[in-house]
Amino acid sequence: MVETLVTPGSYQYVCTRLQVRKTRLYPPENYARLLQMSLPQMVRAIGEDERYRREVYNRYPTSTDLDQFERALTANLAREYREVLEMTPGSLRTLTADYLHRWDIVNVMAILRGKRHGLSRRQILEGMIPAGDLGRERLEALIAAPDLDSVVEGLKDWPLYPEARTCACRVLPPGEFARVEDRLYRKYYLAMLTVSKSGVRGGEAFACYLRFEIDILNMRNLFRLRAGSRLSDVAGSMVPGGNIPVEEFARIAGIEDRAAFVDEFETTNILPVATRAMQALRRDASIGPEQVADLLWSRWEERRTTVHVVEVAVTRVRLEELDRLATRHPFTVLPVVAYLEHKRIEIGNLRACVRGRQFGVPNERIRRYLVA
Amino acid sequence: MMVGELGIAIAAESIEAAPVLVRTERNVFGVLLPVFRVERVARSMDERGYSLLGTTPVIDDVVTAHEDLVRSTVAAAEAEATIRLLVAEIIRTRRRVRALEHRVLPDLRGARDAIELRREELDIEEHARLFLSKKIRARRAEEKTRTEAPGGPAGSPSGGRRGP
Repeated sequence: MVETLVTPGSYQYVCTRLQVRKTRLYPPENYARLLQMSLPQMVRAIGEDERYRREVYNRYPTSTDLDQFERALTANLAREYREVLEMTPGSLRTLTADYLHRWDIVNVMAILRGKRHGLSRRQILEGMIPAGDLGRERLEALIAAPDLDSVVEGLKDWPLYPEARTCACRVLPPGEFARVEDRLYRKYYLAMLTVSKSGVRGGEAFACYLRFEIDILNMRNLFRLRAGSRLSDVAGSMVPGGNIPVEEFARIAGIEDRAAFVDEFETTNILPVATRAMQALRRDASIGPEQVADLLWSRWEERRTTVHVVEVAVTRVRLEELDRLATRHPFTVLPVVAYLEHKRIEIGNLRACVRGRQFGVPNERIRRYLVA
Repeated sequence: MMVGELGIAIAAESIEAAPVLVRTERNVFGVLLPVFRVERVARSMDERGYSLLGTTPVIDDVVTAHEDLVRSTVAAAEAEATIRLLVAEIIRTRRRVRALEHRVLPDLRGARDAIELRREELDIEEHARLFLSKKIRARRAEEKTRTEAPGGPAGSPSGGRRGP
């Protein structure tokens, strides 16, 4: 698929519209304002925002149940994603739809696991986020299926069906669902990389972002694997296709020496990202890569995952990188993906604010979970 | 990635290895106290059962916090059971002590006093008996001396008899 050099007007229209829509997302100071409110005030403030009014007030007008409120936020996310998908034309739509396939994986795995563990149909249905190819009706039909075989049977035309097929077995070895899910996500990223390299507009830039995202994802999961005492099958939980090869991660996984760890880390492109994140987090530009490498080594040595605030800071850096790429390639899929990501983060932030307030978590601690 | 209430419910249900509670006992001053040991609480990533790529590290934090909570709950249960049993034993012992103090000991003291009183009476009786018998013996000895003496009274018990 090779596109013309002239950017179609519809691309310009959609990308500009989404750039404008991105400016209407909550700025960081809005979260600070929300955190000064009581829970009912918080819910009302979000519900009064015209972007959330339809779901919060129309769907659950009298409910004070926060589970319902959270479902309203999820419904809003799904509606927003479907609206974006409907407005995107041509190859932009193809890439956006491919990007949104991850929600299909989320939904399908939730249905399969929910059925396996005997969750109620209502509970599964209320947790669905129909933002991908599989619409609400299709998901409802899958949830209504009597057993796992029927669910898998109903997915025959799904592109990732071959990977999900093994879930229908009556007796599954331990951890099989996790392996299937990991395979689905690996396939998803590989498919995205393949499509982005097929000559679509902005595909290269998008592939560049995807590789960056994969690197961060793999590094984060490497720390999680070490903390979870599982270093036998590192490659099984890594996504290939990033800037750092999976073999490199497997090599890092076996390191027990500080100097070797820092040397290996310095060869990757993660250290500059982590340094930027730490500088932003501590508002101190003098923090150097050595200090960050030391911090990471201390977590690695103690077999712990990275500190949550650091992960949030790295997510911020990832979003900044995405925004930077979207600015450099304004009429490609990147502004669309940037909007979708920012929207997802906003929903996560709102959920953290509301749930944190519900359980009486101090504001300072809630702030640590906000990507703002 | 899994999010929200359903995401946590599914991550919780995905656990491959359930924890096992082992109960043993220890003897403290004759009281059998329970000892709870919980196995397979800290799970490896394989045993947790959820996908790494489909979840965020927040789920790891939640699982680790939950594992700590299970351990603390079991420790609290052991402490509570120990305290309950010890309190029951203390109450039982206190009741016994009170019964000893207010019932058994006064009875024993009363019995002791009665015995002492009786013994004193017996002592006095014995003393009087000895005194009397001594007096009788002395009187008899005196009478005997008198009768043996020449010109003793004729109507004495040994009257008319003469010694060899």
